[in-house]
Amino acid sequence: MPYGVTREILEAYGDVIFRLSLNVQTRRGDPVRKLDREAWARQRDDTGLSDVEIAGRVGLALPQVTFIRNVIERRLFRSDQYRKLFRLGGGKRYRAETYADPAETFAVEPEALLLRQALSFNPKQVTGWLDGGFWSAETTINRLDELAGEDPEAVFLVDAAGHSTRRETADRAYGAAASLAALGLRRGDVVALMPLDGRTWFLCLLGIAALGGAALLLPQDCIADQYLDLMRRARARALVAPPADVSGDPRGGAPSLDHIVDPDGLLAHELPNSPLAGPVAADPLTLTPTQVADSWALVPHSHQTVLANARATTAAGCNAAGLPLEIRLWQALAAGAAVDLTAPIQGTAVLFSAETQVLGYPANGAFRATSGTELQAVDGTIVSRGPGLFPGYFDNLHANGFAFTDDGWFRTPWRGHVDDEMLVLEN
Amino acid sequence: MADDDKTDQQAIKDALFEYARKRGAAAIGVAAVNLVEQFAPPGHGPRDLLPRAKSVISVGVTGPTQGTWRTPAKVMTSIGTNVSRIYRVAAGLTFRLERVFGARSIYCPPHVDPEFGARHPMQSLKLHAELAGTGARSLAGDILLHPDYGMLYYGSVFTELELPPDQPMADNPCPAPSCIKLYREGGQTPCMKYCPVECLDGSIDENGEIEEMRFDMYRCAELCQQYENMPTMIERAFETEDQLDREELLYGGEAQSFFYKATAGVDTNAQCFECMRVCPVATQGPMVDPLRIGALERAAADKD
Repeated sequence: MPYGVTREILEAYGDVIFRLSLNVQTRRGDPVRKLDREAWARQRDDTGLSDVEIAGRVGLALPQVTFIRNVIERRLFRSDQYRKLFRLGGGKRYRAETYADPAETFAVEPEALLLRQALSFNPKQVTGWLDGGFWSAETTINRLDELAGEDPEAVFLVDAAGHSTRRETADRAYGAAASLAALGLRRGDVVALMPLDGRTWFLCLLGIAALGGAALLLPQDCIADQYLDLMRRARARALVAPPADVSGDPRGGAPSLDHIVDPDGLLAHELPNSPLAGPVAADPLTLTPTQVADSWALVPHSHQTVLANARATTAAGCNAAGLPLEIRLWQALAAGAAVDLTAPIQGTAVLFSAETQVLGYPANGAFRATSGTELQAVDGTIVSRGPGLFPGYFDNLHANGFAFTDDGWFRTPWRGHVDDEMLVLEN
Repeated sequence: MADDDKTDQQAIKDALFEYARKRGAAAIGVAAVNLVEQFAPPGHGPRDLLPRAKSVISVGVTGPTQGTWRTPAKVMTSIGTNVSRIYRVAAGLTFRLERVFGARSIYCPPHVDPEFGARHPMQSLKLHAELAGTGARSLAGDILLHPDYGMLYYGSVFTELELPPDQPMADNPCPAPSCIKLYREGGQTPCMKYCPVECLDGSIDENGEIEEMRFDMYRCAELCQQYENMPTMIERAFETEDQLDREELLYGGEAQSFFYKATAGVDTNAQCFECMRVCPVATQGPMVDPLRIGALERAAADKD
């Protein structure tokens, strides 16, 4: 208790001392310049008093006033304001309505931190993938922007009902992102996405990506309890599903779920007034459920892993036969092509799993690994690592314990041997 | 005072002013200590520092160049100040007064009173300047403005020599006509509108003069003083449970640059020019713009 000042005294006198101090000043007219001492004297309390004067006014000792004033100043002081200056000047002025504090922009919910913690990659490999050009700063959404900038009227999504150009696709995605943001969703949040018909699913997925969220890609043909279990395990904050597909209140089975969003409403939202912060390439993009030993596990991928794999497969001319829809979307982005849901897909089977994405494609009677992917055979099991590989199952120590070798190679579901960088499967 | 004495004192004042201008002073004026003492809070008058002081000399040096006004805030906050020139002028005056005119003199400390913390000045240089006629209080948190030199950096000299006093400015250059127009249209002057911590407010009367100036100095201090920064960082680092949060608090980019400035002494800890950057008096006064002054000087030389 410095100078006999208790918490009670500080609370009782803190406000009046602060208001009388130089911290808050109000001046009426120009009394000093006009040498109007009477007017000056009348407003002394408002122009700010010295500690000696305050002590005389409030009935505390001078050291007590000084102590209380300094403590109140320290309590009100915000150490995160100076950063506001960093983007000002050179013609740019501060505007409260457009300022975004980076600490808030890049903050994520505790649930989203779990997903970020799952994106754990080997540092040497990360350096190699960046140096080798497999990973970059490109995100799926700024790749879409790039394509829309190059040729806005080019067709990007086609279904039986019509098509969307690149520009329309990007605008709908940003509108959807703004709609999710208006609900309080932010970067890193998991948004569950029900299977939907045609272009709608793609647009919703791109909307989640534009927000910087991670899309939990719910599979077809699950029962309601399975969907709830997946959303609970993924800590999904929102579910995008047609109202007719949602029975009861799913929040009972998935407590993190705050919002159920109608996809039609999501895609009807207007473009945001100011640009959203959006994702960076290292952010999580998707969570894909997959069966591991008869139970569900969640496979996370980032913008970097999906684009690395999509670039590698499209560069190899690898057709997308039998691949999941999201892989077709990433490949279309990488290749600057369109996703045509009305056209039959020609192509041969590739080695694909949710964890590895496209691991290899047929060549000379065997499979050639996608660019950047390393393969080994360990006791007949093909193990792999590479820029398109997932980093590990989300929040699933048990599954991860079995999935990786001690030195970090993923045990793929395929058996065979590796011969001169070609994968030969067992019959 | 006899007429001869007045003449002598005026001659001394003129000589001092000439000396100060040669050393870089732009505006210079004298206030009688008796007058300053009428407005200074108890314990903060000139005689509390120099008991037999008779005169206060207020000097102001000009602010940044036109190029500096247009730089990003990161640059402006680094190179915008001119306080070192004030030391040169004011400290020089004190030695001049003692050596040539035999009058004890001091350079008024511009810093805080060590008894009261970080926001309690020892003297009000604003009060000295206002009474000496070298500046008038603006709507921008009472920052002084000069109609010709705009925003100045001020220093004060106390001397036992009695000098003929100057008068406060007859008119206040704030608010400028363009600011009055904007205020009438939107209820804010540019300085109020663009303050990053929204610490300024006020009103202008029907005559176009300051009716009321409201200033949250404690908010301005978040940009311009930051004396609480270091203990705040350390306290928060103790409190946080997350190691990465602790490392950001102590070793993050903003923390490191703050410690760099605070310990190396190579840069100002905290500055913000955003209210002055949009002030027409500060940036466009007739003697503010070295580019314009230079052009006029060259034109005059060509004419001769």
